[in-house]
Amino acid sequence: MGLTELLQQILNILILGSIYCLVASGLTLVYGIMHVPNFAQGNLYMAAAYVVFFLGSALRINYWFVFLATIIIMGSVGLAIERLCFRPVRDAPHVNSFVIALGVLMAIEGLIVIFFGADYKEVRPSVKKIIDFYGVTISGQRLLVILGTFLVMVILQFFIKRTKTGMSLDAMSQNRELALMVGINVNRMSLLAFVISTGLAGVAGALMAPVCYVYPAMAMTPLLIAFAAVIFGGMGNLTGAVLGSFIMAGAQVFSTQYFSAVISDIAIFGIMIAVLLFRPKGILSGRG
Amino acid sequence: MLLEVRNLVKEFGGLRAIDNLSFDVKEGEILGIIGPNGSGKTTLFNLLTGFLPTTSGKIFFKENLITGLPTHVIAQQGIGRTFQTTRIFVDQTVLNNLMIGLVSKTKHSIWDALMRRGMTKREEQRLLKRCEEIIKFVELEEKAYHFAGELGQEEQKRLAIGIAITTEPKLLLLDEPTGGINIEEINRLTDIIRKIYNKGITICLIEHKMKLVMELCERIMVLNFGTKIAEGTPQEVKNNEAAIKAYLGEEYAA
Amino acid sequence: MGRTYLPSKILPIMIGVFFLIIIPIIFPKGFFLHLAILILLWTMLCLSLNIIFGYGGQLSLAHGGLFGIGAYTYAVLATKMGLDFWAAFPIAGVISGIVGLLIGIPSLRLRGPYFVIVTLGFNIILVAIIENLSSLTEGVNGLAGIPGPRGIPWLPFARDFSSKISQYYLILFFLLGFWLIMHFLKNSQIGRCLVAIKKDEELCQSVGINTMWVKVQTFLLSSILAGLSGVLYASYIGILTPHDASFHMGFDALVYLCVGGIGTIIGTLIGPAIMILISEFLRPVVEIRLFINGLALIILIIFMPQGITGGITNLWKKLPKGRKIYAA
Repeated sequence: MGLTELLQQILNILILGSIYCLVASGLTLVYGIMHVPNFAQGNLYMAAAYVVFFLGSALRINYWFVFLATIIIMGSVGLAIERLCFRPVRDAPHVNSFVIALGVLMAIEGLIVIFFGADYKEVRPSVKKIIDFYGVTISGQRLLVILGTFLVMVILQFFIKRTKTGMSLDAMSQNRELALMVGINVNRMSLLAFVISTGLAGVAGALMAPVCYVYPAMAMTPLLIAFAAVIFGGMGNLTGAVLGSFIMAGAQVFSTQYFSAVISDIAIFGIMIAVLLFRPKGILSGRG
Repeated sequence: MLLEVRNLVKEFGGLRAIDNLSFDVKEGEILGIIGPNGSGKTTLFNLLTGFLPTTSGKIFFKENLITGLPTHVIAQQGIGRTFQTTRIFVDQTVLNNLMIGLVSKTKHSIWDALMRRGMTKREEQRLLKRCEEIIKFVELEEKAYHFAGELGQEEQKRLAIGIAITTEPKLLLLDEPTGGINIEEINRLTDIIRKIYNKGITICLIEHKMKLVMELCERIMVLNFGTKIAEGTPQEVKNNEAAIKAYLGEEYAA
Repeated sequence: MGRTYLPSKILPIMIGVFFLIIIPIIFPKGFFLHLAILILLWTMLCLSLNIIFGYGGQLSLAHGGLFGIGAYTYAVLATKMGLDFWAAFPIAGVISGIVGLLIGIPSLRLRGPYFVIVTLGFNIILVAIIENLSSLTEGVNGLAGIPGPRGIPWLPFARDFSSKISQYYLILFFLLGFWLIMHFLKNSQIGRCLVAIKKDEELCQSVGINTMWVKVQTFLLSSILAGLSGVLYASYIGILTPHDASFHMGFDALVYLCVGGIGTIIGTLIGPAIMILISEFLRPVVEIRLFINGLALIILIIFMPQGITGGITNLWKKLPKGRKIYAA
């Protein structure tokens, strides 16, 4: 494989990995704080893409405003979902929250189908610049996915490690009992974690909408790959989720290249299943 | 020797919870295990019953190697236990709690369910009879049809012991069976433990109440930081310097 | 678990079964009968999910795939290898069972959310496999021309299955059998185990119960029943697409089960009946089935996690009837 092809593949990995990274970070954050695998996270990313489509293509609002608006809208949606759907089942058996998450997943997809139908939508790219690089062509919009994700992850990291609220969040995901004893407010933290995660989904949707086709089922496979990434890195572990996302993206791109899409699916879930069986706390932990 | 433990080690990350522990338990005896909080007593029980994998070392039960075997196999071999937090099935009746304990001795596969074996009148009667014996033994006759969650704390502890003896164990591990109950209740439980001992069942008893341990146990083992610091008769242990040092400030009057 | 004696339970059951039997006589018109058959088929899928989720307490999202495997196995055996229904039926059951074991044995070692995620992953793999064995399954295009069950000449009432009514009765026959299996399971030693394992698995292990083995068997039975439901579905509908094996089927079954009441036998029928009739009612409006299902799930789990059956049972308990419910 020549240099051009290799670079192209690396670019693909970076783009896919970025989206998985955003979705996975949301997943792992919510899981770490609320102990719920938020199956709806994928469809929140999808919904964000539709928001971009609606505001950008239908209402023709400037992309950068749309970007910001999407994040705010998705954050608010997250607030509503956490309070209305997840808070009531906080004290019920865990499995109830899993089912709620599935319900939210279905409801979001259902709502989108009602308003937009099931056909493929396109959002026209706003960043028109095209860059040439060792024979590889990359559009500015696609580059934005990588850069935008990088920026957001840096901000997130700063928030978690440097601000008081963020550190409380981090503490709680590491050691819940201790955090409670120190007086950290569970309700606030759960809400915060959820809103951040839907915000991240919003970023993902806003970045990806001009780059790929937008359709209701677009997020299912990315969701599962993001789950695989989160499991790989350890549920609740943000660094692990980021690492896992790019590794999974790499596995996906190379399996598809050398074998087929099917093998790539099997490879990714194979890795996930193997991790669950042998190192259930994730690769980055000591012993499983 | 009913139970032989050789060079048992358990590490959690960098922490050695059990540090090269070796001891024996004679058939028919009642061995007390004492030590300060965190000395590894419950961890020891978890290792013996297969709840936790060992880091190294060997455990022999009835001369057979049981290290690494799954919990249910060890239970079938003849080791029963209670837990520090009283574990019972709260939304089942007392009778049903014991019936569950007996399940492993019945035909309980899906095939049996479809062929309607295991729940024949005769089988039910046999199981019920055994349950009645145990209920009588732990003195819960009037509460047989009550839901376990309605029982008082001490009654629940007796039920937990009842569940543990349904499998007719040769060795019974009791983890702080008298935690958090009053004197009268302690005496009642102690009587039951004595009854079990008189039936020839070997007992290992983790306890904090010194008076109880000294009265009940023929031999005592003292643990601290996961290792044995003293062993012997109650008299010997009482006068053992190392044991006294470990307990400085931790003496419980029972 | 024990037996809860509600002496009046036998009568409602007999009335219910009688009602199911006379449905084709009351509604011989094609469309409603077709709806009734779909409801029965969904009841079977819900039933299979109920065994592992309602009784076993493990939420499997692989059941759409297991249903699909059963359906496609029959379809392939019937169209590509000319096997007839009665030969292919048990074979498909066995294959569903094997796939169930392959999924269940690794997955059941995992706790809570991990089990759910892994089974979802397995469902995706199953669909991917179905789509890719296109020489057998025709891949994404779907498989058509799947024959229905052949008549049994020497058995009265079973001489010919070409009519819709006869297919209804065939499916009802199997459904009654499945319900009987569930009933036997509920009132058996292993049923007792399942309830106990759900509450405190380690306690069960400490009294010698091989909880892994119990869970695997339960998953195996659940898989076989899901697969057999698929066979009946394929033989009735005659056409299959990979979507029939997707996790969406599993999601829908979960919704129907929650509506009807998880862990109950009657709930497996009530759920699909209500939800399918509702979505038929709303069909002319707009494609809002998915949204309704999701919303129903959320509302139910928050306000009525026991489903409709649970709601009625709670109401029943509150009524001053003086009826003693005792557990023996």
